[in-house]
Amino acid sequence: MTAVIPAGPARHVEDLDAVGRRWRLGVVLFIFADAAFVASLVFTYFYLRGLNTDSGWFPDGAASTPIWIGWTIAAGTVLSAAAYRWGHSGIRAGKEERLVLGAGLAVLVVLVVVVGQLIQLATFPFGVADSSYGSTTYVLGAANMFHLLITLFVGLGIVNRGRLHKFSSTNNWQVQIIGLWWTWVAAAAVLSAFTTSFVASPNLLVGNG
Amino acid sequence: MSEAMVEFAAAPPSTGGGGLLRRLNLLTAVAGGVLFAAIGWYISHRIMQLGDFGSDRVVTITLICWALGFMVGIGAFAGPLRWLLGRDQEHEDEMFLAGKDQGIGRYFRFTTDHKVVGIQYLVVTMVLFAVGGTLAMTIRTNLITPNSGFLGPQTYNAVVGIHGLVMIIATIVMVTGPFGNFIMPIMIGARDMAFPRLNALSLWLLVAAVPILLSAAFLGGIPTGWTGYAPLADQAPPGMDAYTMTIIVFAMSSAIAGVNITTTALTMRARGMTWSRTPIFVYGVVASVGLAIPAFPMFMSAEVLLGMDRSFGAQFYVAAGGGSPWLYTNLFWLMGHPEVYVIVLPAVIALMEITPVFTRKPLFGFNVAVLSIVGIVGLSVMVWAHHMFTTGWAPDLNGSFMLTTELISIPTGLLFLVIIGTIWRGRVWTTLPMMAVYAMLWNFIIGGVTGIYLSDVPADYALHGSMFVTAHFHYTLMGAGLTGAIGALFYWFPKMTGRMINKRAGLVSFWLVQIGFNVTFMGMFAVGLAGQPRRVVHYDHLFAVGNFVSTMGAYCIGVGMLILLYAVVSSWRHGAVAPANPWGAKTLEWAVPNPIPLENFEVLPVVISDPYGYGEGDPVLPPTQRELVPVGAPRDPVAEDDTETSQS
Ligand SMILES: [Cu+2]
Repeated sequence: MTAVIPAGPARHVEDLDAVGRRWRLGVVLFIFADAAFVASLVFTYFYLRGLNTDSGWFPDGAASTPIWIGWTIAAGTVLSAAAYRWGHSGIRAGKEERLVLGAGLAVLVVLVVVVGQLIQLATFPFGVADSSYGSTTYVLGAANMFHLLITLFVGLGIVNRGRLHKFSSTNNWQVQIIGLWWTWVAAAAVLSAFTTSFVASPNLLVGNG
Repeated sequence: MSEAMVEFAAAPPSTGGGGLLRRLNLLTAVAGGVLFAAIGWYISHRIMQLGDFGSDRVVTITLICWALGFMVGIGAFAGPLRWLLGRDQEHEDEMFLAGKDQGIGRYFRFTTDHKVVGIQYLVVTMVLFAVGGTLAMTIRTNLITPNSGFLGPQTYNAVVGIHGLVMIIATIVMVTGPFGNFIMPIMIGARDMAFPRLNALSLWLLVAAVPILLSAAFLGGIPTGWTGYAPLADQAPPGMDAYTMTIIVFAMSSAIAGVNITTTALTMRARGMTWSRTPIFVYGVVASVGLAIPAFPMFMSAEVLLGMDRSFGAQFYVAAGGGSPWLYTNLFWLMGHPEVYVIVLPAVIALMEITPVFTRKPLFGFNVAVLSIVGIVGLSVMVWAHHMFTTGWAPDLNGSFMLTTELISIPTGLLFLVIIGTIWRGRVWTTLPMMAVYAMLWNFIIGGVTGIYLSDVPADYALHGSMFVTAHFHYTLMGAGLTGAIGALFYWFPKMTGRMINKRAGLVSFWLVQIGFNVTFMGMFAVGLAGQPRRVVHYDHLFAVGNFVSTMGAYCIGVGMLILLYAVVSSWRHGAVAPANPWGAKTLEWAVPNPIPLENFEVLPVVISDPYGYGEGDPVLPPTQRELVPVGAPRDPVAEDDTETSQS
């Protein structure tokens, strides 16, 4: 059973807050889906490392990627997320220039991180086919790269749209939801660096598996 | 590629006619896909044919290019690029995208209107069922005698694998696709989905995935069955690359659809539609797609890793290189068991939505139903290893996985009681949708009880990998799932097409399909119990009678499905024109007129009571607004004779 409210405006214009809330939930759900993807890669890493089938996780004489590279990439991503947040707090206070500056800075940092991630992927001291450690480390790096490229795209969009005066202190939900994504990307980079910090398998029995 | 996209994005924004964007449709999408695939094939063929993994790389790159080109050609990238460039859509653009005044052409475009997307999903689902069903007929024909020789062993494996995957995809989308998109937004009093462009995106990603899947037939097939188990998947022909790409594209489509549908149901319900006034079907759809949101990314990662094994020689699933096939089974079934409920829940709950309408009683135990759905969703992510009892992975955990699996039968049983309690002492109006309810109860009991046998570790050691398993999951996915989807189609057909479905043809189809179904899979239970393994082209003479019976039943299903197809197509074209609310139902989708206006509601409704108040008094409403309101619909159904005579 239902009742009806009087007719609204003919063009069915929606309240900005409602649209923003809806998109925020949508982005949170997308992050949830992506987190399931990242979690399964992390699970893959620790599972194969723990299993160490036939001592093939990290065979004798293999080389690992220096741990500091992963952490530097993570630190750069966190830095970019922080710069973006600074820009977002600017537009919330109505300061358009600070949004463009903060988001622009964040995009530049991401660009540097993309280059760093690319160099890491190209110069791993092992091949993707060498061991399950090699395979999993590659795929974690590639997933991070994928995150960064999406972030670059949406970051550029925010900078450009900020430049075109699309945002204000009352209309900045797009800036906010992309901030959510950016924070998640930083968290995922940290998780990835943390994961690849554990190289040697704890399961060293000869002929296990 | 980027050039082409920039060109699309730079197309003049919507000033009346013209504009490249406005000419994009299915044809340009196919052209884009073929063009990109040809370029991808040529370059990869030239550059990468070297090395051990040449053919897998070429196939993978070609298929990725197909999907990209297809999405470029349909115009999927235009929106993000316009956003990047700061060229926001005008109202006129949105109306064009929604398919305003475009006639039949809007069904072949990147159209955002949820009703168009729902119909597109319905047609894609029917095409998938036609393909999968034809393959099923080939399988059963091969099994008509122990050594029929109808299919060779390789072909048989390929046919079984493609049948499995086609049907899994079809059943995943069969309720949430057509009815979740078309009906659900109107049911909650919304003008469209939360993200209309993402809605079109999810549909067209699915369409892009279909040719990828079918290409497997020409690339050596999928010899692993639909589960794609490693290490066999690592050794399989390039058809397996088509398998991984299908899953990757389909997983994207499902995740997008899941986010969209969940957000719609959570944030766009009409004013006054509290959770206790929300129709149960909305719960079913949200439970299904909500489970899919975390499940399909895991499936996707399992297939990304498989693709890396195959194209780059990675060592994820190869024990000799430090990998493990158990990794695949875990990732796969972490998705795979929730996926069973992704399929079954919305179908069963659609029937739960239907039951009160035809018994003229409120849904019995609404809160119990909601709690059961929550219970099933929660438990379904804790049972995955019941598919792995015999693989040797963590035998110590078998007992606990047996327990969680058996626990699921409690909330599932409660769903049965809700439906039976609703029928109990009701004045049942036996229509086609209501008959689907009865059929589902019968089939799902058999599917559920045999599932308890399989969840039992000692019994599973005897039954796993046999035709018993095949019969069991067909009883759940087809006997409950597909029956529910067909019931939903019968029920919502008048709203979706504006016409009544041919009742006589529907009845003939119903009985042929249901009798054929039970004959087919009872026969299969028998031979499975006797020990016939699944997925094997020849079998012992011991199983001859059961298999012959199964094949006869399958032909019966085939004829029944053809009649259903005839009923749908002929009624859609020249069926009797349906009244706005032929069943006298109380949910909001029946309150909108036929044909449904582009934005559904001229005035957004406010809900003041639950949707199952059959037999309660009408609220007092201003007379001018009465015709908009479902309570204004006849207390008793439009006389049954009316619809019957109007069909003949
Ligand atoms: Cu299961």
